[in-house]
Amino acid sequence: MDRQLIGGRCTGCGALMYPAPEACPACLNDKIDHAELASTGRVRTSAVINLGRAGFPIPYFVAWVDLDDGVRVFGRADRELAVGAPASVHAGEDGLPRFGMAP
Amino acid sequence: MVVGAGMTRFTKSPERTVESLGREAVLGALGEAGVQRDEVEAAWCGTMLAGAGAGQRVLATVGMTGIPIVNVENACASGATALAGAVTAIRAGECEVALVLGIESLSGRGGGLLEPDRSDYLWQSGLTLPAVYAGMIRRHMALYGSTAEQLAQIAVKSHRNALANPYAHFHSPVTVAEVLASPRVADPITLYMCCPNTDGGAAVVLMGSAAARRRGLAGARVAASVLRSGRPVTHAGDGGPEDLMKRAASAAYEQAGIGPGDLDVAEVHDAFAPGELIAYEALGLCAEGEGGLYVDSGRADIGGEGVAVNPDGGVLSRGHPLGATGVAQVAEVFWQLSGRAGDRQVEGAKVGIAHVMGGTLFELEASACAVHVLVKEGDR
Repeated sequence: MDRQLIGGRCTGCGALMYPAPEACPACLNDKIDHAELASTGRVRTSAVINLGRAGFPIPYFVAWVDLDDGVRVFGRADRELAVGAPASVHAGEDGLPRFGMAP
Repeated sequence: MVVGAGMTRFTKSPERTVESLGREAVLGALGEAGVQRDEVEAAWCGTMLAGAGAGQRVLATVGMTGIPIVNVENACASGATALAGAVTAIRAGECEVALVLGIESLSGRGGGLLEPDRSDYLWQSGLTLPAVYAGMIRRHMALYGSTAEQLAQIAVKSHRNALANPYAHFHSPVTVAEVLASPRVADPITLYMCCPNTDGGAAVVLMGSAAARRRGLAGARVAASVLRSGRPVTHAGDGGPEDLMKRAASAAYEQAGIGPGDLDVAEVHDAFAPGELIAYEALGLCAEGEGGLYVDSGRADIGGEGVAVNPDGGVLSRGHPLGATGVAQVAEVFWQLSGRAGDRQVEGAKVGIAHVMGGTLFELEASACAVHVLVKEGDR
């Protein structure tokens, strides 16, 4: 079972953010609750990385996804995702966003 | 007013120090301007990676320390940000003669991707700077039908223009087929659509208009100097780097009292070919979505029907010594406006724009965007 992606919700202004910051950049409140983020979203854009970095076997796929709850997150995808396509979102073992096809 | 410019050959020269590169650029600019070293009242030095006191280290080699020296970092926009600082000081009447310098030495660090220190999660997730541009252009291709072939044409134009630029890194024409067949970096971006790692220095001498007129110096008036930083792109509906570009360009046109239709020449940020295509639109050279057609139709060529874009080869072929790039762009616009551009001269150029981006924070549109508009002095 995939783990939900965890972000932050500001207890002052209610802003939902990823990643959870130390303090809210909008209202400066420093009490940020952990918040489960949406598990689906839409691909704003994506990329295939052919020339990569140490530790990332090439090619690998990444995407920027606008989640259904309004947060935009970036992360690796298990395949090349099309611009505008729906996507599923969960947390990888490192807690970072991972994308797949929408269920 | 810009009254003189100088630069080193941009190339891989690991045996040269930043002090050596900077010194050559500084003396070249002062010589062209006819300004003595002891007439410079303040200096701004842009570099991303040359380390602390870069401006002092260069100017000490030519006996010019003692004056205020400001060292500026804004990623790839460091040099243009340094220029913006000098412009602000001259406009405020703080000084009349200023030196702006940009320097970078990269080849000693090895080739391949630059990996500045960062802890943001996008970096941890594997993002690379070419992938940022790939994401931008893939969206553009999906929305507007632009093609990899059009990106390749930008690289072809860049290499062709650089043949007439003695300072450029590359002096090697390429074909569309060669560009498309070069190693993939981040689809559709191939190696020949990317700038090389380059060492170099560039400098300009800036003078208050009244002082320049007293000396009978011709030059290019800085009609606009705009610096902006990127807004967050962390929520649905937020934009991308192109939005930062549009805001900065818009402010520059307003400050200069011109529109894109008044431009004769443009130096835009083409560290990766998609950057230039997006810039055609963001700077208003063509309508949204028509950037691919702009290059396809030859409008961006020297002698083309539109604005000549990157007549010296741009970042892509001129090379990208990070901090020097913003100053080199302004040097080229100055040379174009003063009729000194040799075989790459844009005939009758009177109004030019220089646009550069800098980025090391991926949660923002970009770190910075600087836009300068220059007008040949004597024209309104």
